[in-house]
Amino acid sequence: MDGWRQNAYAEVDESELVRKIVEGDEAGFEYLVRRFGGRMLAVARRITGNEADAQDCLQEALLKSYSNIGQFQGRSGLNTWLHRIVVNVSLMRLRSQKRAREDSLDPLLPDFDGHGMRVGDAPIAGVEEIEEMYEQGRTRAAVRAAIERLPNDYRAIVIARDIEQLNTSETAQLLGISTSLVKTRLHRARAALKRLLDPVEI
Amino acid sequence: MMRYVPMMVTCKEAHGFLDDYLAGELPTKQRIVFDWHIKMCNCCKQYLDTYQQSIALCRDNFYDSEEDCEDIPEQIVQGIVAAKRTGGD
Ligand SMILES: [Zn+2]
Repeated sequence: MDGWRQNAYAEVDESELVRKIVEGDEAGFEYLVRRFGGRMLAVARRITGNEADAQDCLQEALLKSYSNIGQFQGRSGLNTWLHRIVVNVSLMRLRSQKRAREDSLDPLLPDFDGHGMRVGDAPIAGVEEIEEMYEQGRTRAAVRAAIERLPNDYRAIVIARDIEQLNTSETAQLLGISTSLVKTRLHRARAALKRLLDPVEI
Repeated sequence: MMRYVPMMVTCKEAHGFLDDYLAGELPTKQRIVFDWHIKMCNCCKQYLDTYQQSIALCRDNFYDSEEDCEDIPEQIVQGIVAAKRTGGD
């Protein structure tokens, strides 16, 4: 597509762009891909953790948004609408792929004695790297490394609940699991993240 | 220290209330019990604080609005446009 023709879409407001795409304007769809695709790809990469899956998810999300564009209400911006779609697709992908080796969360969970009193945490492997990132001021890297350590099922729930701020039933519906499973897994995941991100012992 | 007193819960029990407490979904009676435990128990108070901090840390640092604002490679654009043409409608 010619650059100047694509640039012409920058002048068009979102509802007009959507209307054109609904009417089958191919260049309009191409503009949408160009305008929002980069950010969507970055989101898919953050969630799936790898480039190949991220590109697949981006494509699936954009094709899905094309099929459903007639349902775009304009209540939220196009950016937000597309973000939600790529998040959903990426979380489903994350859930469906089992990793070869998944560490148990148990060593990261808090301990209580026979009377239900808190006892100090035992040292765990791998926390030093995260601590080091912290000390170097690489907070984002530390946070991502901690989240990356969670098994996929747990990671998907943390992303849905704590990062995307979906509520429990939205998360349950999206991931196709019960609300009580969302709650127990979220709790375990949060406790593990707290442990990984707060190396100071209680 | 507080485990045999009525209206009191152990740290382990209080720990089980955490998420509902943060979501504002803890029933009144349990909330009073929880608040009381947190007031009396330094371990759990500290745990609650860092638990909340770590949730906020994840929320604020997972994405990066500057870094994530990249241009999409041209070949990906073309791939998607082509897939739409063949697969779509
Ligand atoms: Zn306590």
